[in-house]
Amino acid sequence: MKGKQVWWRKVAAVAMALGLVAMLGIVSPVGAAETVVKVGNIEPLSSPSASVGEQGKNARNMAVEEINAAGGIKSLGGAKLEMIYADSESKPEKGVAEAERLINTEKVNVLTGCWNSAVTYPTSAVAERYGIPFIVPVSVADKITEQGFKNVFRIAAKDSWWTRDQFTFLQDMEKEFGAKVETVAFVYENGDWGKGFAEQWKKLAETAGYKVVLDEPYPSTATDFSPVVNKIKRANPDVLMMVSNAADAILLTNTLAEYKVKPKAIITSGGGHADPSFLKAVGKNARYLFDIVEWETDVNKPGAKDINTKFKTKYGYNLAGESVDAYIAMYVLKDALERAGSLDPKAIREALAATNLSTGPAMIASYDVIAFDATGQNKFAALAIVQVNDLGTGLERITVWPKNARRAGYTPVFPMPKD
Amino acid sequence: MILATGPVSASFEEIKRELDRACSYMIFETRAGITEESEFSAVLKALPRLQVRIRGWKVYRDRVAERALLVVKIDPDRTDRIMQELMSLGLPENITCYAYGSRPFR
Repeated sequence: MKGKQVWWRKVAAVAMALGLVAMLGIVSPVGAAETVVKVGNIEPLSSPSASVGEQGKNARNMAVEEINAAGGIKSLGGAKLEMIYADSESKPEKGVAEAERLINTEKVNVLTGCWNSAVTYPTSAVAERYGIPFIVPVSVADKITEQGFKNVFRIAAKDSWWTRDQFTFLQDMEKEFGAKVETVAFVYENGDWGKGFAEQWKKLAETAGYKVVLDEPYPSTATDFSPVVNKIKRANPDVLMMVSNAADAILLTNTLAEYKVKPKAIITSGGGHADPSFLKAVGKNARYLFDIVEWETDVNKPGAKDINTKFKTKYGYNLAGESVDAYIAMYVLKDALERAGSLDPKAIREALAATNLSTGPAMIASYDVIAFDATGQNKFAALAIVQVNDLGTGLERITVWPKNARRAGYTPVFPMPKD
Repeated sequence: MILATGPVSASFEEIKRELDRACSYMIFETRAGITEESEFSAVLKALPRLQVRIRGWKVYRDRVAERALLVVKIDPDRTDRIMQELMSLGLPENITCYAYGSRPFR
């Protein structure tokens, strides 16, 4: 009997102790829910690139708010994502120092960043050195995923895919509209950007069997494009491809119109042709022009319109290429964490490598699947092509390619009308 | 200017602690081979083509980690330009590139 009383006293003491512990919040009834996934983000939050850094930060934050509000990472007991931001100032050495701080001091589970390729390149080496998974939403330099690293995963299409997609688009247009293209002309600003594009265009033209009838670099500072446009007119290409900064894009487009140069298509490369000043300055002279872009607000993908509306309401401006990839990156991370079910960097890395995402909020880009190749590059990433046209409410940029992302109800104008 | 050509024994962390905070550095890392020439020949050929003043370079060996490290000292705050150029030069996949700067490491 005495032994039984002692036993009950022990049970009561233990129960009281447990109750006290619970009241003090020392142990949560769902202890795992207190787990957090620390995500270190290195972005240019000051310096001339600060605005894109801010866009990336806002897009990440919106995605993380959604993920956390929906219950966090369920396989980790509802773990929440905790965002830690660091400013790279667009400087490689600052990016490297911040990566080391985030890994060694903040003990982050994952890194993302850094927008500037020159920062991402050495910073990815730090992540690789410490074995911390590094998601690169945007930085496009091919080299970033050509270092033999196992922990680097890039969402965006890489640099060389811009020209690849311009040619794929052209060949798709030929097939869709039964219009044969035989000759191409390349006109580009004579800096690294223009020359880089032209170098790749020449290889792609040869592979595609197009004859290059003009290869014309020009100085961006030119104030008279009549000589260049006369050369284009004489070469009479089926397709004119251009790389231009803002001022020369405007002047070239207006001079092409003045000389009535109307190839089957004009395909441009973003930059000056995507500048907000361009359409205002050239008006209808830009009609039917095709431009390559990372993302456009009218992309015909489920959820894209609503997500953009929510983002614009929250932050006051539309999503763009940079912010879309940052938003997607958070959902790619969520998907990987759910499958990893662990905060072990190796498990997260393995899960990222096995990503095969085709549904959910991440699918607002122009392509349909996110999966990484052995180098860590999202192998399905693609650019989009827009056509400038006036559908009765003024000139606008209308997504036409890839076809599955084309604006509903729109048929591209190809070839360009001659009159 | 060459600071030293003979390999010096040091780990990555030891090298970082010794960096002059008034300058910027590029550190190239690769698996240790027989000679520093074969390990970093692609980098050493590329350095004169970079549009930056090289203040000196030095090869280190981390014998524990079996890594070789080439430390290149440059004018401060030029690393962004150099990184852009290095990416376009296409260094071999087995060479990893880091940048360290004049700011204190936190």
